[in-house]
Amino acid sequence: MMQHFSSHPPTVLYIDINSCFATIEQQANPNLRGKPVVVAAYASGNGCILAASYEAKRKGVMTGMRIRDALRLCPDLETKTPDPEKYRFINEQLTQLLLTYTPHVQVQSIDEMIVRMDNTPYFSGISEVEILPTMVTLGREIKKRITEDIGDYITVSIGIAPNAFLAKTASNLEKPNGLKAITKENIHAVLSTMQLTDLCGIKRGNATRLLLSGITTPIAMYEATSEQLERAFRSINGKYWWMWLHGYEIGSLYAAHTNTNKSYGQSCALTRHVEPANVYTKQVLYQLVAKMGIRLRKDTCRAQGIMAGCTYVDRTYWQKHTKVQYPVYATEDLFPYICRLLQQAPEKPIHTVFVGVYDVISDLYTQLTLDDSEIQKQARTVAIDHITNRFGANSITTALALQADQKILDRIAFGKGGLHH
Amino acid sequence: MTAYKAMVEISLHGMSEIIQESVTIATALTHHTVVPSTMRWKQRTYTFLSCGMHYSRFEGDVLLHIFSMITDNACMQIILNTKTLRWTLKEIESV
Repeated sequence: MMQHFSSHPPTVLYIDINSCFATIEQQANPNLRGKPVVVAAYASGNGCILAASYEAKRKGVMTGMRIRDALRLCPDLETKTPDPEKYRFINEQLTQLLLTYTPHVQVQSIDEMIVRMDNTPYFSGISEVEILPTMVTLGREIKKRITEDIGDYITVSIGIAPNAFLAKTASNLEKPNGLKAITKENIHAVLSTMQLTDLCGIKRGNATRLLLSGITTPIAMYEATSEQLERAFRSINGKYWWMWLHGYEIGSLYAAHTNTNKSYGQSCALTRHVEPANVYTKQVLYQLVAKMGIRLRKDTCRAQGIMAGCTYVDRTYWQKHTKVQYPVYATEDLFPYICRLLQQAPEKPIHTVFVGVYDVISDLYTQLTLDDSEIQKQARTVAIDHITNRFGANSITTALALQADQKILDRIAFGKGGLHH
Repeated sequence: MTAYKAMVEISLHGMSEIIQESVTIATALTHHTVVPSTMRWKQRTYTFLSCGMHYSRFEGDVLLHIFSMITDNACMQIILNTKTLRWTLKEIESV
């Protein structure tokens, strides 16, 4: 049966830096090239692998593995700890390079970008059948420029399609250094080679929902109606999936201009496993709240929901959240709320502590106030953030955090959170 | 130390060493860009074969240029402080 497919031309490029952190380390140090390299969160046997080079992947090393387990598979593994500044620099360079083609560059994460080439001069005066060859030529040119201008060892996989979801799917078809397109002509052929879990966003839970509805393959999912998918997912997401698979742009997953997060959070594994009431926990907690507060205020947001939690050394878990009457944004307000929440935590040695805010509203500094203390607080917060941005984290902090012997390390978060300090 | 522990230790820390010492650098202008060409450190001169990577970052209000420079048997991270114009050898990683 001939399926309906978007008539939009394949003008979306999805660019994914291959094994981003590991490749950048190999770029910086040519002695690491051709060797199995991983970038791990911590320099210890328990350190979690954040990125593995293709040489390491070929030996079975995967992201998320512990170093000690990876070493069993690959005894000659080279381990590096993350250097976020280096990765952000490459991200910035790639963004600048892509901006020379179109202003419609959407940075999805530290290593993924969506480039929308609609309304650019590249397609003026050419027929519809010439659009795909032009996009392929552009993809090759971008790859060449990355090698010449950014780094000769940095490779990207590029996907071309009418929408961002299919472009991402295309970028995953050939790694490393691939260039693939998905169009209405080859969508059947591409999907027929894939498993359900090969689709970005379909993991065990969604795959089970689909299997229970009799949808066992991506091609069956593609051929299902929007209503069948809505029934399978038991939500509007089914309709979104139908749209994405048929080349339409909808929903928030890859939508342009969705820069505000729904929630913000920070977590840290304690180097000393102490109880929640210990001053050491408070010192770490303050740094986490300060870091989270800066991100919240950078997006000009205030939060109505606050949460804190911890995992214990005995592998148990505790979490508490609360709603506040007036939305908060300043670290000086967030910290007491979070301390109050953590007071309710069982007194056992903590392994990891985390803080978060949710129900955010994007109205910070736009809401006028007659309250003098609020005006002063806003001015104080702006000044502190300005100093912190210029002189680094903890330039202005409390006496409590000043004495901290564990400093929160700069980390690259998943998604857009990783793009800023 | 068991052989396995030694393997973990070597993988994690490799042959890299933090130095953090002032050095004398000669630069060359190539392709409209200034890159370090030789380094004088502890009465020895090291010739750089290539620059693996160059990036910059701010430390406070000071712009630092960080170069990963390659010699025939090591990778050296050297930093130019643009406020003091001093070069620092931060780290050496041998092959």
